[in-house]
Amino acid sequence: MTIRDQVRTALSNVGRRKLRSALASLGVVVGTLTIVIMVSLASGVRQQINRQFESLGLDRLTVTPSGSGGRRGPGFNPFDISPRKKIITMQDVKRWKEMPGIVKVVPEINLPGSVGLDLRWNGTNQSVRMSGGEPMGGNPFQEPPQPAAGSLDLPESGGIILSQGAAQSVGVPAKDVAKLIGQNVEALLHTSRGETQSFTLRVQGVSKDRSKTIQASVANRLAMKNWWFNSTNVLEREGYDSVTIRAVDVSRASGLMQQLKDDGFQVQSLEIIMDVANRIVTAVTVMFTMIGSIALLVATIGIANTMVMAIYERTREIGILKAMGASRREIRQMFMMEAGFIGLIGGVVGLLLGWLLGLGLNQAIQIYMKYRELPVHGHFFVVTLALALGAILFATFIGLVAGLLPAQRAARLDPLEALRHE
Amino acid sequence: MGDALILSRGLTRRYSIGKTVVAALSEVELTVQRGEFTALVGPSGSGKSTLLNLIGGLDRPSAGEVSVDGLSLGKASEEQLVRYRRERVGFIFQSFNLLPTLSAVENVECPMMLAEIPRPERRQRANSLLESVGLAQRTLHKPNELSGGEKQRVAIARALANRPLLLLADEPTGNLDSKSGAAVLDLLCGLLKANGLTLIMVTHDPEVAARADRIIHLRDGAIQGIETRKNAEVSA
Repeated sequence: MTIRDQVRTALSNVGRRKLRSALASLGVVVGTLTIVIMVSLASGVRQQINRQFESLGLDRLTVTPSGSGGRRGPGFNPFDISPRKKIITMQDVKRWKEMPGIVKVVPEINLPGSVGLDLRWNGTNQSVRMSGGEPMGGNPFQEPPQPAAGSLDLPESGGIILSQGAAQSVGVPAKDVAKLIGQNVEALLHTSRGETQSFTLRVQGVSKDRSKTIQASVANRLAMKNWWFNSTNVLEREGYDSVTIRAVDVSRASGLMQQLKDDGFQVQSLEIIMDVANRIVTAVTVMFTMIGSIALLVATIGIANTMVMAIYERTREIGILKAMGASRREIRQMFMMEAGFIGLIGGVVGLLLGWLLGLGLNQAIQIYMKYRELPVHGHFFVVTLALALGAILFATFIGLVAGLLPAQRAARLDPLEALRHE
Repeated sequence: MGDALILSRGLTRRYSIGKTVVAALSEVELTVQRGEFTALVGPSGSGKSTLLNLIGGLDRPSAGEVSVDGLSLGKASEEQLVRYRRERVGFIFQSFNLLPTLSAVENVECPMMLAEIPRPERRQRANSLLESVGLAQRTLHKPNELSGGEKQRVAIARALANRPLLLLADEPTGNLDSKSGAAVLDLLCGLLKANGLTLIMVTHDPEVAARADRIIHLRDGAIQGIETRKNAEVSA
């Protein structure tokens, strides 16, 4: 019997009892549907995570002094000045800048949270917030600010970047922000005791950010911090609060990370956060895929039962085929193929349903995101070609496994006994 | 003995039912010539069907040997037996044993499908076989749309599909009324002569047996007597 004839025979036998075949493959449909939905959700979410993190920069490391409890938040903390075991000196920063594979080294000085800060322009005072230049500072699901005028690339030596919100609050409308570039503005620091100090800064750029923030250069922030602590050597004593290093690529970044850790610094990278996120997604996927696998396991039993029934009903037929010269192998293959087709049909239907459900849910999520004004685009359910092929192959495999024992039984039937059946 | 197709020596088949062993056939010595029509007669349980199944390669001897066209069926491998059944033997059953879901022509095609004959060729041959059994108008009917006589004719056409040497018929007229039984028998005898086939037929019916060249009487698993007939039809 040729393979083509076997396929044709198996198909017509599956089609002979449509309802039973459909019911038998229903388990495969449910199992495949679950797995397709879960795996497509996982790959979609992973794509989302990767995209969001990529926009922030995976090639970046944030180095903080050891013993400082990591990066400090903006809130006031009376125990803020904890002793640092390993400080980041100017020499460190200089050395890092000369290392191979480094694109950029941005040292940071943070002002204590209790500092009062006003922006003064043209006689108007407005309380503002000082923001650092670090990439991990903001909400990771927020897109980085775009320049409205000038450059957002602040030199270390001096200068200031205003947000559009801050500029507006001191009387410069959005359309006129370009006029501010190159002008001097005043940053007024004041303590709760009423002492104030003015720092004059040249505007380098205006960002499209609507919050009222300013970003002063490191040199200016160091000067402010020295004034606050009534000192001249904060940098020598405490070092930088953090340094952001941008490497040429992710692999250089992770190599550098180990090196800096060995030097005794604390190092953070988005890659790690992303790793954790991916690991959680993977764990959840595996969990749900296992639920789908249980459905498929149950489906196996369903198919096996259907095949046992079919073979019992067709015992005489098997005897006739054997008398006509069908070999055991041909009988076995015939029933294996039937079982495989039941699995295949279930797999294809499950895949199609899963894909359609994913498309629907993608639409629903888009509408929800738009309604909530969240800047998340793209799809959460992504059926890749590998997933589609894998699902179909797996479902067929499930069918074949289910058919194995019944088909073996059919092949072993004694032709005379089979002919006497019924 | 010139041209023997079937030779059996001490052919024995025993069945064990529980702890007792029953000999369905014991020490049968038989020679069948090519082109011969042999009838096996005897009461039920005499071993007629057992002998037929052994010759057809559906069963294996417990002792002794039977060879057909030089192939020792007792010693043959499973694979050889499959090929033997497919290529050299055609079975005709009392209860027709057509595949119920297939049409007449598909039933006739079935052995050719197993023999891997290309589709257009087997469809053509199946149609001409059905024509030769007088069913040219019924080729697309399913078995349940055919009368008993028609079903048996489809079965005969199917038995001839792979041009066998030997036809084995187990009471082919047993389920038919006398008229269609006689018609089937006439057809079978005609096909035998036309194709030079050897036929072994199990029957209860003396009238049917009377058409054979030889009648072998079986009783309790042994040959009781052989009746050779000078059949006018054969010599003519």
